[in-house]
Amino acid sequence: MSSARTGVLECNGLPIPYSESGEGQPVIIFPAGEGMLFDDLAAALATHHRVLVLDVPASTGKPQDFAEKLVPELARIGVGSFSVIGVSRGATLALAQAMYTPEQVQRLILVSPLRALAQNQELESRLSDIKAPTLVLVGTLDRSGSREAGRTFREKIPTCHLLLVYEAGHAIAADRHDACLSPIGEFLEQGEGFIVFHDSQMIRP
Amino acid sequence: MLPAWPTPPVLCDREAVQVTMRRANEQLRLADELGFDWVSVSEHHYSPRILAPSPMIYAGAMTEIIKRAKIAVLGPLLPLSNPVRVAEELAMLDAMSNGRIMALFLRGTANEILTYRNNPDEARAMTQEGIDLILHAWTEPHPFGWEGRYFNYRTVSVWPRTVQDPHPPVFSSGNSPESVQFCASRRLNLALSFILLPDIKQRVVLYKEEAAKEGWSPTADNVMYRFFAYVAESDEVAERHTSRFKMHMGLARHMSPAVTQALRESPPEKLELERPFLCGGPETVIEQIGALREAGVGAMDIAFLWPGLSYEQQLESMQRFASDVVPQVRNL
Repeated sequence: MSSARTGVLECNGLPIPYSESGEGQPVIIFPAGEGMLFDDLAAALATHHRVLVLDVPASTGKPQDFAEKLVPELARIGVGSFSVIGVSRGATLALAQAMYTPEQVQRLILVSPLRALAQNQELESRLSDIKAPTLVLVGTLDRSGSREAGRTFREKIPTCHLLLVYEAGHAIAADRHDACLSPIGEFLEQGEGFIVFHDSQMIRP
Repeated sequence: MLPAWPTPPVLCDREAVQVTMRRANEQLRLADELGFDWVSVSEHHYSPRILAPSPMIYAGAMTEIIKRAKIAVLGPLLPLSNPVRVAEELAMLDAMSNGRIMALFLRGTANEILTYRNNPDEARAMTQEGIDLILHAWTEPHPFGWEGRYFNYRTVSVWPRTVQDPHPPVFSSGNSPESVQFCASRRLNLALSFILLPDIKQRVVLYKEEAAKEGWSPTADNVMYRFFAYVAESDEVAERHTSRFKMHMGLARHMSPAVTQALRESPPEKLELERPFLCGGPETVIEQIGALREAGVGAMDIAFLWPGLSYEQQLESMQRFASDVVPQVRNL
């Protein structure tokens, strides 16, 4: 990410390095780790948002504890309410954040969520509690189980929209960058209103 | 000489159109009575040949005209269509027909692509994406959005669901090797149209090879061939009645050279057929079907048409096929 600022948060006794760029409404990204190539998309979102990419270790303790303790740490750097994007295994933390700190989370976006996430009984039983407008993006070529997870979220989260990204695999942002950026950007701005189309359809003014 | 494509509407005889529609309905009833497995309708534009710019409208009428046979909508042209609308209309037809719908999705020949100003170079990609979208629209249990390359919807939720579960049988074109690969990868049925026997064999072999890579094994029942037929009382009569004219398949063959040149990778078809694929007396036709079966084809979509044949000869050909050929080939 160009002109990124960096820092370290502390959560559940763990140091959480982060990089930050852009100005505007805050967006917290829990990345998937290597291979998902979400950096370009995060940089593109930073043209309209204050984007913080958190480098979270694989083990964070209980998701609820992590989510609740992250809120004051984010407040310390001036982030009160925010939208959250979770990519692949990062979707676990994003989901927990929306579930356990609903006052702070404005929008929830899950990109290629893992099937195991939808099968986590504790999380699954509380999906209907999520209040934040939710968008799930799944590639039509994703064979990791994200499709099944997406269907579960679409069914159980009252405000959830499922978006199938054609000819994209699990590394969805790498396969169809623009096809991810456009709906994510519009969803961050408009929430569920993103289904309304406002571009002019006039051909010859 | 055939008129150019598009054919000027001023040449359309309004009374002839009504006669054509009435005869089509008569043929539907006859096919149903004769025990044909299905009757089909395709999509063609701006031409007197096959008056069905909207196959869905005609298929809707067919649900009331025929009581037993399946209704094969062989040719919604997806680059010309809204695939979600196609999914909705076919689902509606499946409900209206008590689950008797079959579908083949096509890209259309070069002239058809010009109908609504689509890019011929992108027609195949649009068709394949459209097929994927329709299959999702029929099977996703909850509303979804589609972020495609050619189609984009933020909310899709098709009602009614198709009567057939999970959806009506779907065929995809296999006239080119690339389309055979797509067809096998999606586990769709294969439809071959008007190509010659060696090419049919080659496509079926490729279909099976590609299906094996995907972990499934299609049978002859998964392969349809579409062609012209004339079944006469004898080979001599068939020869006499079909040898006067050839069948010119390329509707666009009289287009301006500038248009042909502009079509680049998708030039208008100039396919010319000497004889109907099935042509002769019943015994000869049975042998010809045997060869088709050996090539791996298990389903036939037959147009009992040929230039120069009278309407009565077409009906006799259908009747002779049903009485003298079908009983002999059912168990091939």
